Amino acid sequence: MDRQKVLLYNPERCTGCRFCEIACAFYHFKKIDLGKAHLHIQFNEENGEFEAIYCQHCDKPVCIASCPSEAIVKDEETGWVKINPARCIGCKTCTFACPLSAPWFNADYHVSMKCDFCDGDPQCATVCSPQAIQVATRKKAWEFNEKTYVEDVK
Amino acid sequence: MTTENEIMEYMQQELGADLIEAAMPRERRVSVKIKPVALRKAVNALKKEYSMLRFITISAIDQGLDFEFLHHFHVDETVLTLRSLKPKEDNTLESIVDLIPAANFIEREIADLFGVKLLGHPQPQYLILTKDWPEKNRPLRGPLEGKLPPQARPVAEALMSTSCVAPVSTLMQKRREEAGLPRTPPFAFTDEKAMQEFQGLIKGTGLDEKAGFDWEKKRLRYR
Repeated sequence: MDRQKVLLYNPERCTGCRFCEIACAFYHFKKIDLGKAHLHIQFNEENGEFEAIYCQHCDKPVCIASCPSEAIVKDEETGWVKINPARCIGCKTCTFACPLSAPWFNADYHVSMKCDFCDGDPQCATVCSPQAIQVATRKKAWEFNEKTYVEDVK
Repeated sequence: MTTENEIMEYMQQELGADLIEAAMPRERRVSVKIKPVALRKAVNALKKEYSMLRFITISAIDQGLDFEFLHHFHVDETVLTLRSLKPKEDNTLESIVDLIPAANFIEREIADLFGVKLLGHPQPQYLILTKDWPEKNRPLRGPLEGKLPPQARPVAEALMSTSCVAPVSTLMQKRREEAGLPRTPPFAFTDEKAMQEFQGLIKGTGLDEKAGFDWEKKRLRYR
């Protein structure tokens, strides 16, 4: 649990260059197509900040609970949540169930796809020059997100 | 941490007789079948108990004779589905927008595609259809049809309302006469007790529900 790695996004550092999206799409599909990336950068017009939407690899993912064909599995050791494309029936339930809509439907293969952590070396974090996206431990990411988002709401 | 059983118990205790069936098909997945009148009560109960309640979406299914509405919620890492079956003759969907504002667009989409009337919705206009779309013709709405094929419908109706369908042939009538019996056997609908037993059998096997038989009007809900 302590060794599990997740992505950590710092909106203050992000410049909105979207290199992460390009790298993600190129790594997985060998195409420069932002629509095929597993993460997305959005501009929040209210506070003028960028915001990334990406899979958090939750402790108890709601996509697994919602999947009717048990195609989504969480690796207990690494903590990665992955979709098995051989079992996925392309019903898009995970897209609706996820609070961030992180899994997306790929019409080319007729399956849902999501961040697979690039098998341990996330390309988005590698190419991010201002280091807005980093690989961090789950505990650190939890503390950071709590400080950045939860206290704002309170 | 709320487990699936706790959610089911809580719903059972809040809804009482309005809850038809609670089931857990998989881990972290709860499906609760409720009467359609208790929908708002169920949502209110969920809102009261769970502060982290998140509304996912509503699905609507055209079942031929009924519409099935599935309200999906995310309750403490569990996906809870409230299932309610509404007859097509009724043609309404109770809005939960005042309780859950996020249901606004999906309810309007369902109303557009299935032609159901929204009760208590603040903006019941078309959302995805064009303004001049005809009132009667909806993309996902099927006709009011049961599972029985057309040729079987009169037979099924006669069977369930009068319990007799097969005529006695003249040969059989002759043979009955020879044996000293009346030409035709006594009908079940002339005997109250026999009729009750027969209709009890139909209700017990669930044939009336499958065929869509209306007990009050003594006829099928569709032609």
